Formats: sequence, structure tokens, C-alpha cells
Amino acid sequence: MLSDLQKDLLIEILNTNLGVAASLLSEMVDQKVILSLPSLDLKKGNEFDLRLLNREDPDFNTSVLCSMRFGNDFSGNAYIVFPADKAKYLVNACLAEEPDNGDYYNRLTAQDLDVIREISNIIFNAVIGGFGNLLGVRLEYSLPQIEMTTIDAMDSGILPEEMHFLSMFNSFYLPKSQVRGVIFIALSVNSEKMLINKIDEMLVGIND
Amino acid sequence: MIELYKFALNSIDIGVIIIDSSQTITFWNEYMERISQIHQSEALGRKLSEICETFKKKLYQDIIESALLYNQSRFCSSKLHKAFVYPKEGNIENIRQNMNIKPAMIGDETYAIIQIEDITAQVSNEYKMTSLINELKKGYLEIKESEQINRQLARRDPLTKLANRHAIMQLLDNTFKDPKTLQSSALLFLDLDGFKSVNDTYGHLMGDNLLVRVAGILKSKVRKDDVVARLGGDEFIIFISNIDSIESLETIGNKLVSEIAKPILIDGTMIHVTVSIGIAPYDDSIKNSNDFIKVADQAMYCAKREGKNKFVIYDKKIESGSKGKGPLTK
Repeated sequence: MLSDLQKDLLIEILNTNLGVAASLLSEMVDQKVILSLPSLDLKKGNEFDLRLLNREDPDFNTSVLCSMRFGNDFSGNAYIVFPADKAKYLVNACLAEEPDNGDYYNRLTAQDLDVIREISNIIFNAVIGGFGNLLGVRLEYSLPQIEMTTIDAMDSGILPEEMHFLSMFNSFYLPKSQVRGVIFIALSVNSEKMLINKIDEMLVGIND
Repeated sequence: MIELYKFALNSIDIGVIIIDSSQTITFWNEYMERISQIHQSEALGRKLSEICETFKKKLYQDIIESALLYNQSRFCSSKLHKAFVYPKEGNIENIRQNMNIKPAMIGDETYAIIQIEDITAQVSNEYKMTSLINELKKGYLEIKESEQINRQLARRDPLTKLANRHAIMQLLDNTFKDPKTLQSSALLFLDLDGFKSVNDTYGHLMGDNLLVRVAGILKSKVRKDDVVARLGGDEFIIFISNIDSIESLETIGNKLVSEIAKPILIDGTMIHVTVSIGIAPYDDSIKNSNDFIKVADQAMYCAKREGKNKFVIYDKKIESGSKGKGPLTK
């Protein structure tokens, strides 16, 4: 649904937004945090299959899912998914605690989930806020919600078919770790059009 | 109605602060009074950063500005921030709070609603619960380890530390479920010659020491994968797998007979014993573990009858009462 040029521009915009989030996170956890977004895709709701994640990386089978609603003219839901065991690793890395070996899924505490919730919040604000700035619209944001879930439950429970999904793999690089997560943004059809029109407008400007 | 809303906000167990776009406090609920020891009358109309030191920091100024200028909501976790509002007096080290900041547009004015949730008790309970779980895990691992040791002990002969009768029977029973291993295996039944006289002459302690030394010799003369077991008394069994020929069994038999026949020095006394060995290569007529031991035992008795200090390889003639054809050593 996106041409290579559209994808390239969107990746550049999102990497700038994630740079803002990384800078905030770095300041907060007092260590260098790099967020990178190597790839993205835009798909219709009925073509977007979260189970592909699991096929690509079985770690995603049990995941931590953080979600947030945003609205007004540009509206939708934003989600971040981390494999549950890697989520604990990310928490440890943020707190500069030594990672230990073991069953991280069973060791995720409520406080750990709160840390993931806050990290996700910062990323959501940067990415969605970046879109708001790009489109010149003032957005409203809910507070993020967090839950432990499975890919199957996510796939059957949270993906409205009438929406379109902008999905992106992202990586967190901290001094002692690299943790990969997935961000996906469900956009209403109108919001998707707004975004694509804006990107096309920018591409015309660049080509001129 | 406004009185009702105020009453409701003052009744909840979450701290609520409302600030306007200039960060002036317009609401400070009773819960905030309790956690900060700052009365409403003292807080209202003052800048947030004047009342709470935390909000002077750039990080929190940025968060508040994001809410007021860009409408962004924000959750701050106790694990990353510890706490935001501290009491004027008392121990502040263990205080843990979460914070939510939400923007609110009322007419032309933008406000930020700050919720402070004290989770000190939850964190403390979680810490205790985690410690308890870790203790239970540690206990569980100790029990598992001890079970493992007990299982090993139950399978070992306490004197020689070799596998005991139970362990070798279990091994043989399992091998009978694996025809491939069985086809190329053999069982050696060993009985010391003259062990009783060592016991009678030098005492049981010397006899025990001799058994330990013999066990060591047997272990050292077979391959790592072969299993040496003590059946009881002066009887041993060796289970050998992956044999390629009868000749290789003869080599093992010769080696064991000659090694055991060498004098053994125990506590300054030179002890002489020999061994009679029955060797049973597996064949299809052997149906189970007991059969396997029985034929090896018969071959061993044949070796005893033939003058001891030798091995005999089982064949059908032994069962029918004829002599075996095992080669003599000496």
C-alpha cells in the first residue's frame, strides 16, 4: 500500500520522532539509549496478521502489550509489543541492573510492567506527537494501558478489520543490551489518507 | 454540583493536583495534604515547583509542558522515578509513587491534572512476596538436589560406590527395550576365589578393603561406557555394550583375570585372590535380565568347576551339563 519512496520518507520522519523519544529516555535512565526503526509496512486490517510476528520470532508468543488511544482529526490506536522475557531485560537495562539468567516471564513484576508502560508512553508521545506536528493537528492522547498477553489473543481481540495498520519493527539499544519490539498503529481510513496525502505533498516538494 | 465534585476528589485515595497553563496550583486534594503535609491553603495559588522541589527539575518541567502545550498524557513509574511528592518530615527513603499527568482543555484555558498514587505498601509487599518466592524456589531446588542425591545413593553400593543390584537390573531391563544395544552386548559375572579365607584370616575390615580395591581394578580395566556393579558379597557384574567379536570378550576376560590375580597390598599386607568369570554374549534365546544374569552365572560356575582363576564364555553346552569352551588364562 506504500511505495518505496513513501516508505523511505515515513521511516525518516519516524526515526526523527524516535530520536526525540530516545533522547528523553537517555536523560531519564542516565545512559545512552538508541531507538531505531529499520522497516515499516502499511496493511489493511484484514491483511494484517500478528501471528506472522510469532513465526518470525517465537519469543513474541507471550508478550507485553502496551496500547494508547489518540484522537481528534487524526485518530487511532497505537500499540507496542515486546516479547515478555525481553521486556524484563529491557527493564533491567534501563535500571542499569545486571541481567540474570532465567525465566523472565515469571519474574515480571507490576513495577516492571509500569516501567514498560512509561517507556511505551514516551515512544507513543514522540511518534504520534510527531504525526500531529507533521499534519498540523492538535491531538488528544489517553494514558497507556498495559497487559500480558499472547499473539493469538491479540490477533483475535484487538485488531479491527476496518482500520489500516502501520506496523514497524523497532530496536532499543542500551549499553548492555539490544531489545526488539514492534510498534503498530491502527489508523482510521480517513487518518491514513491524511497521512499519505501529507507524505505525497512532501515528496512533491522534495522532487520540485 | 461543584461541591459534590470537590467532595469526591477529596475523598479518593489518590493525590490530585490541578495546575493551570502557568503551572499555578488551582486544586490540591486532601490526599495530597496527607502525603505532603502541605495544607490546601498553603498550596493553592502557588507555582507547583515552589511547593514540590521535584518539579523544578528539567525532566518534569518538560513533561508538564508536553501536557500543557502539546496535550500529551504521561505516566511516570515509581521504579524509574521513585517518588514525586515527599512529606516535610519523616523517612522519605522508601516512599514509592506513580504519577499520571493528563491535560484538560476547559474553554480557552489548558490545565494539567496530576495524579499521584502512593504505592509504597504495594512495592514493599511485592518485595516481600518476591523474597518469599525466591526462598521457596531455593528450598525447592535444595529438595530436588537432595532427591537427586538420594536417588543416586539408592542406586549405589555404599562400600564400593559401584552400581548396586537394583541399578544394574534397571539398566538391563531398559536395555531389553532397545534391541540394537542388546544385540552387541555381553554380561560378565565375576566371583572372587578365596575371598572367604581373606575374611577369616584378616577380618571383615580387610575383606571390605579388598572389595573396594577389586572394584577399582574392575572399573579401570573396562571402557567408560561399560557398567560395573556389585551384586553383593564378592560377586560383581559387568555389562559391556558395543562388542564387535568374541575375541574382544576374550581379551577383556584375560585382562581382568590377570589383573585380579596380581597381589594387592592393603595396610602393609599382601593379599592374593583370583577371580572366576562367566561371560554371556547376548543371543536371541535370552529373553530378559534374569536370563542374562543366569547364563553368565552358569558360565562362572563352569569356570569355578574348571579350577578357578579363569573365564568361561557361555555356550549351550554349559546348560546341558557339558563343559564350556572358554579359553583358560594362566
